[in-house]
Amino acid sequence: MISKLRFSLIAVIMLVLLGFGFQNQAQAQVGTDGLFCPAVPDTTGWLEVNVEAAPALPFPDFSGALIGSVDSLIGGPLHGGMDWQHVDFTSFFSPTPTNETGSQIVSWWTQKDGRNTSLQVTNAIGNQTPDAGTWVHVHIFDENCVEIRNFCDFYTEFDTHVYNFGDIISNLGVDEADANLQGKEGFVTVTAVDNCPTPGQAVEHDYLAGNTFVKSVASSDYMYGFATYHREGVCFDITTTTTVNLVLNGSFQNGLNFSPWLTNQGNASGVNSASISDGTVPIPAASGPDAANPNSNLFMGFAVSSVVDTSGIYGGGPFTELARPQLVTGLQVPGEFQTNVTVVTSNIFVTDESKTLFYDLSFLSPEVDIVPCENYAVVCVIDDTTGVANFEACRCYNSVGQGNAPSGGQCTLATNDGDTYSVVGGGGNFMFDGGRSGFFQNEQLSINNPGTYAVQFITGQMGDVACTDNTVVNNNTGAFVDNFRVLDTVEETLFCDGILDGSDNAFLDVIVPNVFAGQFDAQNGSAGADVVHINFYDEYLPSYTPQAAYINAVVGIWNDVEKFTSCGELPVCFVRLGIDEALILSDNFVGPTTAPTLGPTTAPPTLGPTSTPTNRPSGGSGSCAIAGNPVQLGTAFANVLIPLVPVAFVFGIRAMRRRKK
Amino acid sequence: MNKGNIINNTITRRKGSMLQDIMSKIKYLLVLAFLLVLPMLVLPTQSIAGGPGGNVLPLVDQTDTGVNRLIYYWDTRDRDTLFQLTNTSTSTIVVHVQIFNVGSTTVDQPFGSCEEVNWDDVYTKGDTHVYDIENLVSNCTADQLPDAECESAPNPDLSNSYGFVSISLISGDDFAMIGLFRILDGPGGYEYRTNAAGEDFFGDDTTDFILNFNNVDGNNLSDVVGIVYEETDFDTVFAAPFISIAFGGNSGDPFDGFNPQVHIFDEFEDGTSCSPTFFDCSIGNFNRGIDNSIPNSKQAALNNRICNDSTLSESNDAGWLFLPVNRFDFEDPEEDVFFVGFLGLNNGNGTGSMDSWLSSEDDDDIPPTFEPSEI
Repeated sequence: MISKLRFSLIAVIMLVLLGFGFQNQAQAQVGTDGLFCPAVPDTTGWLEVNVEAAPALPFPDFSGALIGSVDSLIGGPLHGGMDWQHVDFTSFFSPTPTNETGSQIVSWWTQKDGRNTSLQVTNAIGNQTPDAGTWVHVHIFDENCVEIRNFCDFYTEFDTHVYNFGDIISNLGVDEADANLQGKEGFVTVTAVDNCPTPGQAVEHDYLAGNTFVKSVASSDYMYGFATYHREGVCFDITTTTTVNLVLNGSFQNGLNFSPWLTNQGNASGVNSASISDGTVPIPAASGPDAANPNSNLFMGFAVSSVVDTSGIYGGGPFTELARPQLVTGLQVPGEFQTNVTVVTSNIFVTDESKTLFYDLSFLSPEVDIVPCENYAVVCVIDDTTGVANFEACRCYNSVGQGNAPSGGQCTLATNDGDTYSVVGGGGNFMFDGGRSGFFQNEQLSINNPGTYAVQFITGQMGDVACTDNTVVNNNTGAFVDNFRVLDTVEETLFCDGILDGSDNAFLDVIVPNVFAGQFDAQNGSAGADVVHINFYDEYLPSYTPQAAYINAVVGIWNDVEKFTSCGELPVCFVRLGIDEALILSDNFVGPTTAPTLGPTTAPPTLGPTSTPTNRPSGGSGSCAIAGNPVQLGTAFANVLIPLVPVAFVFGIRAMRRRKK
Repeated sequence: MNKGNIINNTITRRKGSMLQDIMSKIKYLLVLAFLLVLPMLVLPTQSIAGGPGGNVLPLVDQTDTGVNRLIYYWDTRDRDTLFQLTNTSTSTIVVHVQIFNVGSTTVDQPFGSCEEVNWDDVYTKGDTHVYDIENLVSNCTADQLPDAECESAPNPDLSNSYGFVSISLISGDDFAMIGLFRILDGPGGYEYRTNAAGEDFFGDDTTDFILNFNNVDGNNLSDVVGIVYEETDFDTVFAAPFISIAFGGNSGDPFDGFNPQVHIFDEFEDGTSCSPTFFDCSIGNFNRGIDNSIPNSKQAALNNRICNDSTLSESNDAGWLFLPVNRFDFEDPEEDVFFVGFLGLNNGNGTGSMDSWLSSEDDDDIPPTFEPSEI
């Protein structure tokens, strides 16, 4: 007996715990019976819809929701009202979009279930612009978020016109085809455009003012009337400062073909680690815009002086006036020369202030000489400001640390590692028996004055007898170079000429809140309701067109005794549903049969669900809606916590206002 | 205007701009940053030409987001009014409810004394409550809340009158209050329903208003409601007949931008200038009609139309009213003056609707250079 009682007690406890555990979970799927919150009986409260991204579906640039209800509180025919649901935030650019004019009008329309929609559009030009007629492009979508009609119209200044969706006559007087609108519903956009139908690009014309009227004539006489949503055209000029490298392809990110570097004489090219026998890896770009290019870490420049391809003395590249038999001085007597010189020249660039050239270099030595040949690599900045070139700054590298660069300064000792390297590049396969120095990184050459400049990297061999006789082979000499950079900043201005092409400074205001809050009240215990959601994104080019987009609507409901119930979630493009069991879809509402009593009573609140009239609807609208899954407790917690976010951010305002007093 | 085109566009998807994406993600930070500089950037620009002193006239036209003060219109002249308040935050808020009665009169103020009744109310997290203007029950009473700040609502005689309600936040989370009101007209059988209006903390500096009207379903009556009040404390407002707002100038080009006149336009873009008009908390100046074609719903006999000399053609289907703010008067030059407008249209026989006035977006800071093609 005790054992049975214990078992029963455990069972009861388990049931109670389950009851608590599931009290916040969905009563049924959103959309069931045409309701956002099936099986919920609340007559007064507010519907909370949290906006999430719908997986794998396009996210909207506009997301708006209406809430309206139909009732007969005054005992006579039905009457109704509707307005946009409250949101946590609209937009920085148009914080009151349902109360101010804009460049695009957005509204619900319906010709369904005996309703007729009228949309008044006004080109409410004020006193700002003397002549502001405008084309508009009207796009009408059905409940499946498919565009079923669009037409062009024109509004002169101060113009106003009413579109009767039962018989659409444009403001231009054209009888637009509307047969396929009858018996349907959806959303409509009226967008100011530059011309219509082409180019049909959206424009900033923030003077459109809209009002929508939905009249029911099916069972009773009532009307919803509300101002439309107005999206502001955001259009401004942007000036941005960006860092550029005046040496183009400075990190050889363009690959093996290192254009615009130009090989003026000798052998040179871009190389990568696969080009080098030991897989030498290029030095990553340290800074500057080239560093953002992943190829900058894969490639570098290569120059070689070789007896294979004789190229003679330094010819100056494009600056022939610089040609000379001895580029590196102090190593030979007058009359001797240097040979097989390779010259590679960058683009010519202009700077309006002093700059510094940075680069990295690794010297590829000839074989350790019995008779040293002071073959070299040189990097120079050439000043061509006056049209007669001269060496602005140079640095040379060789195995002995002797000799002087053409602009002065002793050559840097490039100690080799004694290994042998093979490099495929520069038009051949070159062996370097003397090894390679480590990379000299962030080498610097100063550019002291504003002017016109170019960069050269050069390799050369001694051409004296000791290095070229038959007993000593003048071995290959080369260099790897990388990450040339002369950094500068430039200001770029992106202008907006009034055309809204979706770029960063020219677009229709994005209005996608995080939370919708729709208040409702059925004083008689029951009412009809219409909760409408509209979602679309903007396609700007080649001409403006709205396109279907989706939110994942996470739905919950608060009643008048602060009880929250999660109702589930569903992806939504367009949908029209009733609220709950007390405020069913208006299509199915027939009105109260008893005399109504207005206002709240002082009776104690009833906790938890109570039985209410159930006018089981036959289903809602919104073929876009995909049935959702029951919401979990985590979602319920999120519903509670998310509203904290905007509050936290704007918390200081009230204190600010108080201090003002 | 007899040309038209129907087009079909083939368009490729374009991804949202980086700015749009960023705006979406950091909008709250932007709000915060904007609010920090708000006193420097916005407030000085809101002074209305003609308005003496340092007062500003912020528009109360935020009906989309939560606010710290809500303004409702109410009317009991063969009408019932319900107004709803919701606390969308996760903590308790205390509010100050003030009801101003335009129709109240005294010997000294036969045209309306704008009497006030008020009390404090408490809303727990997620709380919502509907007040019946003629049977006031506080939320505290309805929910039997034990809070020490709970008060019972007063029981004034607000029958056969009209006015406005102000609900201000006393304590609790900011920007958590949303509201709506429903005015049910007995003889007309229609309902005015719209969101209550709050102060736009972005400081909308627009001073032009756009009021659309039409004869959809036979609309021929109007309620052009203008509410102007002073904020005497963060949780208290004050209204009186001598606190007013004036629209329209007397002279000059109607659209010269300096002294524009009130205009009424029909559907054929024919505009008629109208004399200056004003609103305050007094009989006749609180709820007006549009013109002789669309007089006031409840005071048709009063000569209180916005455009007294205008009578639109019976065949006219639509029009709009252009109302540029001219100046305002106030009691205390140290206090800010606020304005909110509601427009109701009805046919007197079954249908009607109401919403806030539309303000004209002001693009002076980013002027468009686009010129539309000639038709």
